Amino acid sequence: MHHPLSIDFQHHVIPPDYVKQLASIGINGSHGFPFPAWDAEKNLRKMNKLGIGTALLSMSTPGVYFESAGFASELARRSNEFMKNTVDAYPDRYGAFACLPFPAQEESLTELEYALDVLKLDGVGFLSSAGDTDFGAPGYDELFSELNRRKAVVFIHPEDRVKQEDIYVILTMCYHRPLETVRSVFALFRNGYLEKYPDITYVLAHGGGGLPVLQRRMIAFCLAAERGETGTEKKDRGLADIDGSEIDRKMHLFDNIYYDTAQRGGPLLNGLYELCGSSRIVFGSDSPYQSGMEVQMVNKGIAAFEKFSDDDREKILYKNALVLFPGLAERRRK
Amino acid sequence: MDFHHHFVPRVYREWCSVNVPSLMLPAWKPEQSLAFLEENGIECAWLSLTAPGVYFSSQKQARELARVSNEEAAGIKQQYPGRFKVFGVLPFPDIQGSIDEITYCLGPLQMDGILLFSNTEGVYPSAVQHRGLFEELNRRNAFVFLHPAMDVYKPGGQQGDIQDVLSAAFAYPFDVSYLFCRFLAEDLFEDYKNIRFLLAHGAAVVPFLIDRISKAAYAKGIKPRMGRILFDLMTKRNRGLEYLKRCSVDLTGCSGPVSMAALKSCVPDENLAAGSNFLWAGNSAAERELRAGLENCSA
Repeated sequence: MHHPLSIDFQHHVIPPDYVKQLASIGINGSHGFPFPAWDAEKNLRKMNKLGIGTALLSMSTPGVYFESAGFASELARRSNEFMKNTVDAYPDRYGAFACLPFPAQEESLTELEYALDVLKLDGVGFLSSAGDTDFGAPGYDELFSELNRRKAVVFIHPEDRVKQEDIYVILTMCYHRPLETVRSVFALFRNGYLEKYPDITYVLAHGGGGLPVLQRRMIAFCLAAERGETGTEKKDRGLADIDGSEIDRKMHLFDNIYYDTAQRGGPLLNGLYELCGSSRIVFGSDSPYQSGMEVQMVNKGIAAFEKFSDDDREKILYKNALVLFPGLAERRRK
Repeated sequence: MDFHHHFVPRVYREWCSVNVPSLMLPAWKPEQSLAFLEENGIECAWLSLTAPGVYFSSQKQARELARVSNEEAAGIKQQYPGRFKVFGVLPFPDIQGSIDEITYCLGPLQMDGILLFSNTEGVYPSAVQHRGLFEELNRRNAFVFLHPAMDVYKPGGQQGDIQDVLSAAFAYPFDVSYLFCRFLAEDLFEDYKNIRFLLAHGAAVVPFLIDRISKAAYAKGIKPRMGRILFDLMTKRNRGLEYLKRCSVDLTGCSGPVSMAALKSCVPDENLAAGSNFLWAGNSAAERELRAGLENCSA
């Protein structure tokens, strides 16, 4: 259950400088709550209590893209350096997904090189969208080429693009957020990135939002669109006529996608297990935005899921991760 | 039985061909459906009107079109005893008109259920804003088919660029998931315990994400409902899952193994309903849907 070797794919960092910079432009929180105070050592104690071995740090909503590409680059750079210092202080307990000033492509390429070559961070993190631009929007071949060349591991976390109000405010978190993750993958698929850049590995937050149950429809839809069989007048007409085997032929494009467990639920685990056994499931906690109790429930769920063997659990908790991050594996061995 | 089977009343098609010609509705005769049922060894199909429903220009127009469509449906049911069950369509978002139509459909017309689209003109049926509607459905223990509809499909509806159209169309079944979530936030399942829902398209993402979606039942706006949260924790009650289990789930478009794995792990077999999406799926696809659905459920 609590596994000292476990590697946590969704563990958010909130650098103090980031908080200051955003406060200076009037932003004081995310998820509807003020930014929690974050300190590497205090966080480590929390990790010990929860039985988390290594935390792969990432920036969460609202991201860094504010004001201008310059402002965003600066914010990204300082956040990446903060993450680097944290990793250096505890190299076997922390890893990091670099933060880039997406959607500014040139600046993102610059920061990508610095983060991976100089700071030697482990992967790259993106929010599902920044402003009006989806992660997966057309026009980013340069960026994806580079991610592909580096065989990068990319973590995608939803942004709160749809902000509900009144009694429906909770739906932003409950409903829209997982579908933002799906929207991003839809864009990646629709715009050819999954096909053109097959050496990128994606890790999706929260069990992939609804992606596992939507993949086939997504493929069917794009196949129908290619044949000119969708559009305002045609509704689903082309969709149902797509043969299952045609869809099957495209499913491999989603084979580089992993799903984190920062979302409990028997049905979710059943769906994921049917999709890929344990081969592409990785542990995630969504600290500090999920309570310790919630994380325990996720752990219990994995432990209790009757279809997992002990071997499956080890893969989910840390073995799958070690394959994706040889650098981290090295640090943990020391 | 085939729970997801669209039909086109003659009067509806005639009216639309004059007033909304770009809808391009196919012609439909009961014989077509009967032939489909015969070929597939099915006793009975549940007929429902297709999106975008009847509301195009005014309350008066919607009420009239709903009434004549429902009368024709009831007539078809009578003409072929035991072969068809029928869902009545409502002039939503005209609430009084809808209440009156429910009364008429489930009363004199003896229809079997009510069709409720996820949204009409961007208005979602709401237990808060449309109390009267849900009170009436509740009073009559109505069987309600929740089916998606989206603005983008309506002539004159929001078009957007091709990317958005695709996104919207891809998202189409999930409008029912969204409605389910709204119902949780509105506490509809607590207030109207007698309504029996049939959720179209396997309820899309609801089963897979049920534990996340359930949180909507534990908040009132931004405030957590601490009493309810603690009580459910202590009694190990998973409220959202319970509400889902009260619903029937139509398997159209959801027979893929991952969807089925998620769905079957939380919804009992007797709640699963096979559907063909007849009319919109070409016959062979409709057949495939239906057969896959029937394999997966006991209904």
